[in-house]
Amino acid sequence: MTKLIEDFYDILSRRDEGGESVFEVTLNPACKVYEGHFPGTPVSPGVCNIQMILECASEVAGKPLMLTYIAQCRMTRLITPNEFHTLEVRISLDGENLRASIGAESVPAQEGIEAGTERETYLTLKGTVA
Amino acid sequence: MKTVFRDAELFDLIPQRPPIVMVDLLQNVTDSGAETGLTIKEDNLFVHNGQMQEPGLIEHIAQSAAAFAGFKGYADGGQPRLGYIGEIKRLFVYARPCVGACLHTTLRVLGEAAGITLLAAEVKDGEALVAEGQMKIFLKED
Repeated sequence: MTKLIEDFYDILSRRDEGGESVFEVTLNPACKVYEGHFPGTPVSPGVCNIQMILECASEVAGKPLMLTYIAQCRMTRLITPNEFHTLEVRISLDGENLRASIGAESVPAQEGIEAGTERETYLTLKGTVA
Repeated sequence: MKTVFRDAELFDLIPQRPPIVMVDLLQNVTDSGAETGLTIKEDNLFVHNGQMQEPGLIEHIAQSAAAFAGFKGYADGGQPRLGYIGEIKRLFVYARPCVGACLHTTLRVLGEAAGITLLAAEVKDGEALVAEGQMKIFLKED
């Protein structure tokens, strides 16, 4: 698999689940992108997260894809490389139509919620690939 | 007052730093928009096989918006604030421009409220439209 930024993330596992492909990934806090985004405040660039989705989708398609259209991409929470050991990238590819999300299966324990019992979504994307 | 910003001068307006700086010109700023630019160099973070990939184009739009917002802060004597992409809507990528291309981008403000700016952008390489779309940018409170 060709990655645009080689050390931004690694894929730990892939499984297929109800028509979706679910990639478990880990972000690398040492990636050079964090030198500039932002100095002293590492935040995973939204566009790098989108590229990670495109690369996972390319893996599902078995060929390199181009992201030709984003109908909507919502980013509901900042993703930082130090906060998340693993993230889930969920890909649903139907012909040229791509639906994807980035989230985490396990959440830290909070009052009234057991650790790991909820799934949170931080980014959703609907678009078209070619 | 300074009204044209190039290369490292933009560091007064945007919080991003190399290797992810994706804007190298800001000019013609008005209340309702601005023009920005980016010359695509071989060593650009988002260049692969001599072409700028989609995240580079999208980040260019985001940083154009950041530079525009930063200019307003600068004009008021303030510091640039961190701006994050909150939402991308109806964004088309028509082509992957080649190394050496000078992107020329027109930004228009569609709406502003409570630290959120909605912008429309058109990115051209010469006469060719390479990308266009809308973006909501959230500015972090100090």
